Amino acid sequence: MSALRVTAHAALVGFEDTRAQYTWMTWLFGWMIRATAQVLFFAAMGVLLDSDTLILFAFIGNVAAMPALHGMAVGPDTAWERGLGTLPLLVAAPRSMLPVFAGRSSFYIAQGVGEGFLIFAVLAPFLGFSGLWWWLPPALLVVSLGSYGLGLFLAAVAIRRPRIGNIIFNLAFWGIVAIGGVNVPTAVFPAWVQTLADFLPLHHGLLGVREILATGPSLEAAQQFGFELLIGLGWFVLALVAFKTFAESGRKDGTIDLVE
Amino acid sequence: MRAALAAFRMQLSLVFRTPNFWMVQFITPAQTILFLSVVDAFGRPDLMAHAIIAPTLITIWYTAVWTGGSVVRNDRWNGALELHAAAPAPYGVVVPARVAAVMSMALLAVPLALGTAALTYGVDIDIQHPWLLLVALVLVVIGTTGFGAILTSMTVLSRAANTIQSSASYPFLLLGGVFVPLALLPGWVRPIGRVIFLSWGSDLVRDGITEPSVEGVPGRLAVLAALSLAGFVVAHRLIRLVMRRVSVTGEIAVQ
Repeated sequence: MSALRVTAHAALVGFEDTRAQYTWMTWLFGWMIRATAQVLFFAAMGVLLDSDTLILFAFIGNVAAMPALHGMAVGPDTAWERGLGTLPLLVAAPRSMLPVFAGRSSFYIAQGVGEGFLIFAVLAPFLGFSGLWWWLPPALLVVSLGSYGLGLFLAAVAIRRPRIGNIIFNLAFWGIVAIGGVNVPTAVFPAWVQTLADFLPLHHGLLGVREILATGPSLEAAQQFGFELLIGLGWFVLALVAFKTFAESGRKDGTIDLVE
Repeated sequence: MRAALAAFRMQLSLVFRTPNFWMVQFITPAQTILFLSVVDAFGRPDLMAHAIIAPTLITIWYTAVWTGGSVVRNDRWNGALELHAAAPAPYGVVVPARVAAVMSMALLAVPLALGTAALTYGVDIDIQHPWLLLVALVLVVIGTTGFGAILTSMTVLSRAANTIQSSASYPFLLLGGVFVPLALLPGWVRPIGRVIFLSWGSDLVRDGITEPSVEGVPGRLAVLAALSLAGFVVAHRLIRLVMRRVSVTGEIAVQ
């Protein structure tokens, strides 16, 4: 129960932190224009290839990649924490670090879903989308939760090597975008790449998103969303172990406050 | 000139000691696979060159935005901005030289994208006009250096420095015709895109690789050179203005 309380307090800190980063103007005319342009950039590939199918496929894929981007951004953000000097206090505290970091960036889940849906709402009429759009927010929430699990694991890795925190995050995100079925179906890749995508977030969630937007709730969509949440949970458990071993080894050798 | 050379060398040694400065180069292979897989899946082998040019230009642009854009902000975080303000060497010369050092590593994108394409999809590009390609690429790097210097000077003026830095990517890549040529985008977008040097650079790089006969080369190169150099001039003036302003107001280290 107290872990939940810690998570809630950390979430409030994270929310205030995000609020301090943006004003309405910089969020809307800075970040949102950039995020919308990113979706449009990849959807526009269909213009060069003269394929309306590609425009819509990449549009939905890149909208769904937005919550994944935010969900995984917990990695580099947590790595900064080491530079801020809060880690020794967290290691000395009686509770695990995970509830703190899980709560600290949990606002990203809501931010990713909200922004993904907003970009969809702005662009969909111009790109000729027709489908059951009202299922998109809950579907994006599943993608966001799945990615958040991996994000926390990346955070546990990045906190050991803060100098490469951004590299790990970007490598993971763009790797997933390349093979996870965002712009082309994963089926076009060799079998081993498809197997790799099976264990990463976004791939199954995106299959669910495409299914539910086309046909509404179905067994197939539920299965894909179930896989997505299961994969997120798997990465979450790995993050739990990684944070625990990091704290234990830091206590033993006294290196927790020494940034590499 | 000596100050510029010293700044260039200093930034280069910093680059080799800072792994995060290489972030953009690390994602070039993944982005190359992304574009190649699209072109391959939709049965358009004629667009393989486009699929290699796009991640190359994205890497060059992102290096300017991400790494070049951090130069002044990092100086501020490290408390070096006050020293620069007091130093006799003009900061307006030092910053472009340091961004240029960062940009020299951006050219690594070329072998990275070509290597990834050869290893994954067995693509072998036949370059139609190597000299045109080389000149266009150099001018694009010069232009992005100027843009990076403009961007990094703006980070001193605003608390929204991170937002400015992360926002200066896809809108420019889209309007710069990095994958889809500007000519294929809606008519009302084209005049906006033509003000951005990247749109001229993207077209020339593509034509240099794929077109057997390229028209209007001198004029197009002249426009690209003029827009690229204009960025440098604006950056130089802007940094002088910024330094004067923050020195006069005493806000040099205030974020």
